[in-house]
Amino acid sequence: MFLALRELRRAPWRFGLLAAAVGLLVYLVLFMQAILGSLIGAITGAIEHVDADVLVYSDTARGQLDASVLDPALVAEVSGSDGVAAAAPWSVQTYSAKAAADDLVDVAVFGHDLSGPGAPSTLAAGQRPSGPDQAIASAADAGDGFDVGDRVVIEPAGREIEVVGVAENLNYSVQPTLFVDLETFDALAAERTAGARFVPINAVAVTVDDGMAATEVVARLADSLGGVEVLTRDDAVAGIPGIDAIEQSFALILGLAFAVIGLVTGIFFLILTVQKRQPLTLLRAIGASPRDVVVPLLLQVLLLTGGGVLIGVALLALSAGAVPGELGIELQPGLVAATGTGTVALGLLAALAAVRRVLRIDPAAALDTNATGVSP
Amino acid sequence: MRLALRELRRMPGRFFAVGTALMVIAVLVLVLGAILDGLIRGSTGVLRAQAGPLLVYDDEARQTLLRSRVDADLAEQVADVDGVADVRGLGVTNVTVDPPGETTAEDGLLGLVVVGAEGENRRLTPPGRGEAIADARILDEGFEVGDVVTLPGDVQVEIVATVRDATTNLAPSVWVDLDTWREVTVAVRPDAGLGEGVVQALNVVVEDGRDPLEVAAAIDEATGSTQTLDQEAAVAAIPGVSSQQTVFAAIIAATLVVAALVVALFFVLLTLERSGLYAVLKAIGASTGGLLGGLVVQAVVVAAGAAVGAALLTFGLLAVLPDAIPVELRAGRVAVALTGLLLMSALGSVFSLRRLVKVDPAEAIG
Repeated sequence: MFLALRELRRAPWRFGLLAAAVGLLVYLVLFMQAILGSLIGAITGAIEHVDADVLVYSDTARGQLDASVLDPALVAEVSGSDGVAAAAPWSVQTYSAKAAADDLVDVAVFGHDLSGPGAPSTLAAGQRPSGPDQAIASAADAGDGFDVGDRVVIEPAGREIEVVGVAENLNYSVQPTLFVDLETFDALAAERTAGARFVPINAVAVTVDDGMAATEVVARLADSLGGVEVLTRDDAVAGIPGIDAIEQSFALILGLAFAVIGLVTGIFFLILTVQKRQPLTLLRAIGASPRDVVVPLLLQVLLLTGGGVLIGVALLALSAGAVPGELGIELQPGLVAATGTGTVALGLLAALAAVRRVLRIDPAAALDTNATGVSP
Repeated sequence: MRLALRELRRMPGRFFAVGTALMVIAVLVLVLGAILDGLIRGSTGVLRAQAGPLLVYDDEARQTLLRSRVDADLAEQVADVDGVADVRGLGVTNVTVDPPGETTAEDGLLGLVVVGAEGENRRLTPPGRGEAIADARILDEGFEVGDVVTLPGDVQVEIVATVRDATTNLAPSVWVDLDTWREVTVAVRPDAGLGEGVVQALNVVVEDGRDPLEVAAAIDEATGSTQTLDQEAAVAAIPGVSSQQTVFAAIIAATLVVAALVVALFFVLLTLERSGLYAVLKAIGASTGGLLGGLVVQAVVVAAGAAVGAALLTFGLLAVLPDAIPVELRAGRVAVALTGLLLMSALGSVFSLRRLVKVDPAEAIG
């Protein structure tokens, strides 16, 4: 054991380079996972964190809330269906708005029935709107003029909306959100588009009766209503266009990054073992058991990959906050633990070739001056 | 140098391990680049296809087509500005259609971007009423040239030609005349506020010899209600484009640093193994610089082999990727990425200099 540690101390450059390479790769893996998590959360948050069990879209919307257009009269039809406890219109429109500064920002404004389903379920501070021109905003944007008590000016008419509450994980399409009542939502639409024939709704938000499964109500509504796509809230989140592409792209990149970690660690220890074959043969000849030579090797793998994980985590902590745009990254303990464990396990697995080489060492070869130390 | 190349020829197996690691790293870099280019090109094609160098949005739209509205009066004001040669309307709307054959989508519907445009553009000239020029990707979804596409509002257009790299929102585009676009948009969004002559933005062609940026400033001053950008700025203003470019560039750079570290690691181990031989070579007159040159040559040759393997592997990998992943491997991207790999490999091999300097020729005799 002490040999393993002493070797690390005596060759800091060699082992340091490996730890740096693994550290940088772990950093890349953690960074990309953090970006992925925050990107998906920022795209889907507003749909994921509302109190509706089921969402009804138009059947041509392809799971895209913005692309769904429904006749408001559909709400009454949904309300009267079996298993439905409550149903209400649920709509979204993106507006230019002025929050903290004079600069315009994009804001997704959601219109929902204050006494019906479709309200944010993750209220963190403040209260729910009690009437027109009040809103719950996404907590992630509280520092940018969307905190409780702030006033957001919606263009083009300059209507002022007061933020009365903030809710966690409530972004949509990587934009700040404001959840307002239906009256305010319609007024904003009318101010932007004078002369519109009517303001359609995007979706119907539904809560189901106690004891009813959301999937059962989905099936019933799909059977009884025409021209609609009925989804559970989870399915609506999973079906948001682009989520699949993002997840698959990142999975491919992460897979390649892990492959590099395994290859680099495996190759390094294999070369090192080949270079050390003579001293290892000697150790075996003077009585060291296979375990005595394998354990130090595994210890080195453990320490170097573990060190690499620490370097990666430190780099992530340093770069958190340096990401441009709306995507923040943060250290998530669960993610770090899973990636760290995966990296160390992959390192140990990749070192199996080196372990095999060590186990094949023939102690008798120490007597042969031309010995390779490895049995044929 | 000769010795280094001869070692590579006679013992290629010795460099196989580091070559393999470098190849996987290069594949990672190329895949990252392909995804970045796929995302960017699939989002910016409509703007890049415009013939004029300037795009005029209404000043409250934050340079986003979907929110911008420019009416006929405003278009006329822009056309009257000194230096403006031509003004063309532009509009973009997302729709879904029912394709004739099998589609790659689970729900059997196809998402399309209907682009309304006028005047001759870089890659296409918008067709007449009842006709459409479609993105070539639409051919994968069961459509053929000559087919009729039924757009929302029961608007029927015949595909008369296909075009590449002229889309946005990562969906296939269908280019139609402005009246058809307006009809479709009003059917999809009755509240979109599209009256007669209203478009989302204007593409402005400037007179020969005029500075587009000066004309842009003159347009905004004359109208008082527009924001005019050159094409590069308009592309960069598309939501997500700048963030994607910055984040992916950082990841690609960090991956290339990993390549340098891996090469450094391998050649440090190799130098250690050869220190006895290097002592002999130094004893018979070889210089440290000459020995280092040999290492650099070996690193570059190994990296070049890895680069070729990675390029082939990446082409194969991208061909079998699911359609959901937007990828596009451009020759320029491949050249830059693989040159970066060679440079970082050369840099990594220089790491062995310290150990080479420490090799004492006297060790050669015991």
